[in-house]
Amino acid sequence: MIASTLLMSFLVQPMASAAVSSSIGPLEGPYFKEIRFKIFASSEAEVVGLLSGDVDIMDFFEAEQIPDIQPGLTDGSIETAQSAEQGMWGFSFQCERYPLTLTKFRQAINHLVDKDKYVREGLQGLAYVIETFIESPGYGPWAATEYKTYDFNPTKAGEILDSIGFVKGPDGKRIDPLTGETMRPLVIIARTEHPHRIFSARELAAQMDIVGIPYDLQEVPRSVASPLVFLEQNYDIYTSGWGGGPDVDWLWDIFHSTSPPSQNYQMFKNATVDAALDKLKFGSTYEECLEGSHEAQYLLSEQVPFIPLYAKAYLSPYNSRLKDVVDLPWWAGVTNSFTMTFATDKTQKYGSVLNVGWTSDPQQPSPMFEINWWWDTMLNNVIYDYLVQLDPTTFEELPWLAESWTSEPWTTPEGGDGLKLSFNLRDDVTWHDGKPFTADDVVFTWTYAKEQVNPVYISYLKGLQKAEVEDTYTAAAYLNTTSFWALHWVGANIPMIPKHIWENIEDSVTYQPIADGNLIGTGPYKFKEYKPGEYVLVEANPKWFLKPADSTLGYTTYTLTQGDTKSFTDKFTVGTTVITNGTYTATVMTGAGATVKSFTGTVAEDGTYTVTVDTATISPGTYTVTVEFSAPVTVVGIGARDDYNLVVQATQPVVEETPPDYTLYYALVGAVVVIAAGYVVMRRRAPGA
Amino acid sequence: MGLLSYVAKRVAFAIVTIIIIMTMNFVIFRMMPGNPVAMIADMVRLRPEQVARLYELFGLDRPLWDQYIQYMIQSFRGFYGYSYYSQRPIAEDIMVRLPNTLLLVGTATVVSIVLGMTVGIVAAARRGSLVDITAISFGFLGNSVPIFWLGLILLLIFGVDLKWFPIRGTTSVPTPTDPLALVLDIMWHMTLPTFALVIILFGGYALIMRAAMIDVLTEDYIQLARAKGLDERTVQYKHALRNAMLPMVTVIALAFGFLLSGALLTETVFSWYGLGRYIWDAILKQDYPALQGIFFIISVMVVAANLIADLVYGFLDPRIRQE
Repeated sequence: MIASTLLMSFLVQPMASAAVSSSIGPLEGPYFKEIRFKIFASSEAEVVGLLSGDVDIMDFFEAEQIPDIQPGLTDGSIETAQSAEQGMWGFSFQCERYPLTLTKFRQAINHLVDKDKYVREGLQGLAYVIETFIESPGYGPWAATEYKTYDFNPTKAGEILDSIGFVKGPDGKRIDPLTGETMRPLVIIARTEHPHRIFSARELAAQMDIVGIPYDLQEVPRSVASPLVFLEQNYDIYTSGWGGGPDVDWLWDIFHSTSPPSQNYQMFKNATVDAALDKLKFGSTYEECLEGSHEAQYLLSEQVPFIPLYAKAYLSPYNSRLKDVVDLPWWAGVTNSFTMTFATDKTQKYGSVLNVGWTSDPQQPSPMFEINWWWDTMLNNVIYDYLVQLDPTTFEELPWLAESWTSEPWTTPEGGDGLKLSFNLRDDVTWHDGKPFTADDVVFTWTYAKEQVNPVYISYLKGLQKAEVEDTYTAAAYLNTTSFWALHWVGANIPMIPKHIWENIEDSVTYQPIADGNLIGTGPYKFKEYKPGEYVLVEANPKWFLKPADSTLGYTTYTLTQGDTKSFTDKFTVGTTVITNGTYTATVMTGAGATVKSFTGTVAEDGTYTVTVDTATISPGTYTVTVEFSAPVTVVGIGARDDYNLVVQATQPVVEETPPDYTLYYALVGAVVVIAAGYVVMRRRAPGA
Repeated sequence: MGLLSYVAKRVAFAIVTIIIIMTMNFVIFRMMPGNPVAMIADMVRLRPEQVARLYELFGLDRPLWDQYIQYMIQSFRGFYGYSYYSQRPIAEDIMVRLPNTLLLVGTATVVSIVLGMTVGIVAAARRGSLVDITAISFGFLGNSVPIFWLGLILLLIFGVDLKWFPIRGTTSVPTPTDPLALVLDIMWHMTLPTFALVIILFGGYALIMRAAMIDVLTEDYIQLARAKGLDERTVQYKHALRNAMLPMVTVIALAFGFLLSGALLTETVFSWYGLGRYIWDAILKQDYPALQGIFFIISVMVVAANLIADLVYGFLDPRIRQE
């Protein structure tokens, strides 16, 4: 239905094809009528689902599982995308714990690391050795070209230790020069859920033993490692893993001295490195940030708070019926919102169903939840949109909810350098509940997320001083920073939420929008159903702004027998004024867009508009009906538009989707009943029973 | 000792057992490494007040003795605290899954018992024959196959290759709305997991039944019955079976006690939305309150089943309450 109450002027826009061009071609979609997120209780069963065709793409897939999908690879029913993950695995040092306070000591340990062996034996070759922090190919120029390397050389490690006074004692263990006693053992923490982490840790421990560094290797599950490392920083060496997003400013979070200890759990504090990281994170030009990135990487390779070891190879399988899947290295695979929105079925361009395998229930699907729960995020990403989207391969900004944006210097009230970012919004976007999306929503989202101190977004909004609605479709953010990344912080990292729903929610962190039917975004899919333990369904949003011009996905279908009529009614108000001078029309069109017939509606005294489509003169076939309202009100027009499918039939309608086939089941149950009955009868007749 | 004092003694024993189990249940989970707040903190940067809120929610800010008393009182009230993971009351989490588990494991248990007893009786009657050897071999084989493996093999054969049965879930996606279709849909979905469970379970019942029957068939009164000229069927069913049923009463009672926990791996392989899968998830996510809650319920079920078995025994066999 058309929104009954239009609180503000809303112009009718022609539904022209509005694809956004990107490095992977023009983006428009979705093509699937529905996504079914099917929940599996084990990854083994999920793999079976991939083999049987019940799953098209999976939430997780480890390269070690390749043998399990071999039948599908052999018969061609499964294809794969593969690359190196955009992240790093390595050893973190707790740099505040002596002797790891000594740079030389950390460098010595770096010479005990045999990365090639870790990859060859610990990961069966399914990884790439890395020397610096953001080395994955996806990062392109951001990776440093100059950095210090440390060859695997225990002798050299021993020499360095000798040079700083840690000489070998009579028992072969190193002596602490401060106490003159054998040095304390270094606590190495390795997490048991990843065998490769255990492998690297054991290898390092063995080498430490050879050069005489005492150690205490603790192989523990995440629940034990997490408090020690993230909360208490009570460790010496930890087998770290970092997944990097497209923006490399995350390097700052890991190593800057003012970053919280839960992030910089190396407790690394170095003024020179800080300066380089600040340049990377707060530099106002691309060149400045790039320079900061390279400097920081060089300095970090010299200081060794962390030894980068490898990036894992990933292989991301998908059903070969899919076409145009998008592989994102920072998501390690094809299971992402780009695939869900822009991929299609090879044989059926529109209207097929995408099946996504999940090994967990969503926890609390909400764009304002305090935790980035993987499955929640996957769902949020197809329901909500951002102002700006990042290109999947170049990471450049693509116009999304914002058609364009401008950036200009702004002086903060304190006289500091700041930025004013103005976003010019698309005017053809509506929320899933039919209300128009405007600058009010944008300003609300920014200020609300900041007021609620949402831990997921707070670092992006720290610099937000104020936000203003400039006009219906222009929103401006005033920031106390001039950072090159600021556009991404406020534009590409915060999903837009509807003001009319969230303004009444006091505690966003505990709020479950799904329970109230309030999981309302502007995105390519609308939330449909969640059945705990079983599935989550989302359906194509027929009004998404990148909808292909010839798509009728999500339209309500009216199936009429020739000669039948179908009426549409609605009422329009501006504030409290009922509008009675508008025109209300219904246009029947062919798939190609040719008008078959137009009908003009009437208006009753109370302002109710009615338009009736009469199929008497329309020959049997499939059409679309566009019901449009427009009215001149003061200086701007107001209007609304809805589209429907119309099937005109000469005969009875057909059932669209066939339910599961129970024939076999009936046969089986019947057979059992017959056999049982027969048995009982035979026994009754048997003599002596 | 009369029947009444026998019953009183059994009930008292049951209550003491439950209290001991509950105490151990409390102690074990407090001794486990790690803490849930740290687990959550691992996923996100929490604000200090959020950490405090979580400690409060889970009652971890109170002294241990206080936690223990609260735990005992709340457990008997049917409140098992909040799940660390879903942050919902555990009783709610359990209640939505309970019907599914009862349906699957209940059906499988009944089928297994009937099948197992039948096979056991037939095997005992033809002791040493090919039928006996085949039955015992299958019983042993089924009993020793890992169900996780069996389940996956069944899925690969009947789900992937033949496509006769669905590979996951309690219902289709989306769930049918027509009631008859829904019933059929659920039956269709529970066929493979039930089949897997029956294969695993029936052997145990068959072996016990067979042993009990063979035991009884060597008794003097069986000889007497045969001497009286009764036909073999009457001897077996009227004279032997009734007496051989005594050990089965205990086994059957216990089987129902373990109804709730019996299908952990089956539910996991077939993605059945039941309590077994809940236990599995809780173990993986170290959701201690959830485990505590469900262990409590299982303990009560097992103790209650034992109690019922004891009482039934008392009725069936007067010698027992005379002891």
